[in-house]
Amino acid sequence: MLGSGKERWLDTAVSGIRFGPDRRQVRRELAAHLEDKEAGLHRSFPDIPEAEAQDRALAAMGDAEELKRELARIHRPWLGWLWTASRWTLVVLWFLFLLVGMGNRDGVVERSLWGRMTGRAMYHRVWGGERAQLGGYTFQIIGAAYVDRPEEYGAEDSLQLTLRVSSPRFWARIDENTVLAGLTAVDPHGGRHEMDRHIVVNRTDTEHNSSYWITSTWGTRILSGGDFCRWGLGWKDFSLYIPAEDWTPGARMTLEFTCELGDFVLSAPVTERVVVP
Amino acid sequence: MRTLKRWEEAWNRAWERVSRGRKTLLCLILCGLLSLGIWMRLGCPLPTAELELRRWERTHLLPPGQLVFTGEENERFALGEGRTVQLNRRLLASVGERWAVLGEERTFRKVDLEETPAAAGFWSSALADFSGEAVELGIPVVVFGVPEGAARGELRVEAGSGVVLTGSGCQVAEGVWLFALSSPAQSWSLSTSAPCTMGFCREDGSLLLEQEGVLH
Repeated sequence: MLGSGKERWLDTAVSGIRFGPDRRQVRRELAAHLEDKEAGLHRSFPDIPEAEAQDRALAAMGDAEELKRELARIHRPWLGWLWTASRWTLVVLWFLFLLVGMGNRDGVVERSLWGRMTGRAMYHRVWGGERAQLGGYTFQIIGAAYVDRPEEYGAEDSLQLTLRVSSPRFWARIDENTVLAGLTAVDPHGGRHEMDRHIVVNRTDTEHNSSYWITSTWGTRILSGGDFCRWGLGWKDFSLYIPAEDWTPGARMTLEFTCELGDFVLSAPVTERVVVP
Repeated sequence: MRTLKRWEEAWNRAWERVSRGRKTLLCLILCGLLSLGIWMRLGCPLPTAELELRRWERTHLLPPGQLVFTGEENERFALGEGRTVQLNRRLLASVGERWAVLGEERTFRKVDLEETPAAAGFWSSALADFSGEAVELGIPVVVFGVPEGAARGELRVEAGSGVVLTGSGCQVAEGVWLFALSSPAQSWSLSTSAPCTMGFCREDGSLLLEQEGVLH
């Protein structure tokens, strides 16, 4: 049959390629080349018999055995299998990544790469703040601000420091309660404030309808105390507040930390005033 | 739309020029990152209970304690007088200078040891008692600082509402005893500060120590 010679030539030429998908791809390309050559011969010699055109095209393509050796040398099967396996693995892992953590929301901080607690913010970023090392963690002051709250709602102003606790061991982020329990903030006048307890002020509205007074609480602000506010890969941020009495720009707020492993002291000047609603 | 199509065509042309080896490397890097993300989404589980304990100590800024008790799931303990109990889950306990850490699976808590011996209970019915005709659930309690020479021990805890839990124990490490509190009616979760009485006898039956306190 006319096609059998071409089929044998193609099978021989690609038989050295051990990776199946590559073998099929190369066979298709060689078959297309052969068809192009045959078509070219038919254009140049319209009366040429089909069998002769095929033989001439095969002769022009070269020796099948020699081509087989060349193709075997170029195409490495292990890379082909690795490429296929890695693509399938990527697809499976992508689906697993989407599925994992969708059901159980317990321990959302431990199971998430980053996030923030609602309503807690750092008001002013500070670069190059004092830092200390303890227990494999780095403690650094990354924010300092005078928080100016509106007077008409009876809210008092605070000094805020933001403390970042980080570690290259991102799988072992520090425990929030341990940090707050060990922290004491010292105001510029020497007053000491424990960070594991809160003193808050509530914003309230009181209105009178036809029968009685209604007081509603619609905002709570921390006057003194610490809060866990944000986290990322290997770090957690804490907002620490103390009452701002007789604050002057540049007055220093100090943090003292004590735990079973040791203690340290950090301080930062509070120079920036931030007005918050 | 036309810009997007041009970008897509440019990307396809560039991707065609990348060798298979580099494509494979890029794929493997993405697989590594996704695996890391999955591990983090699962809460970064560690392969052994001791590694989990060491991580907990690190994240709570505690120096490494001495691991004094580890019990695997389905492990059995002979408490004496023909009593055998089996753990339903993995438990462990470590001791530091003035504190102990109790661990149940991947949950840990610190117990301050102001005086010894001190009793601290796990917080669920983590063991099964096969001693009687029927299998009963029991609560494991670890006692730290038991004096040398104790051969038998009894623990009694007032769990509240007139319920008293009792149990015998066995030594699992130097100065550390494991007790199994059982109540025939139902399983209980112990609360801290429950009054307790512990008593230890010598080999000859003479009283070595009897002390009242609270369960940590």
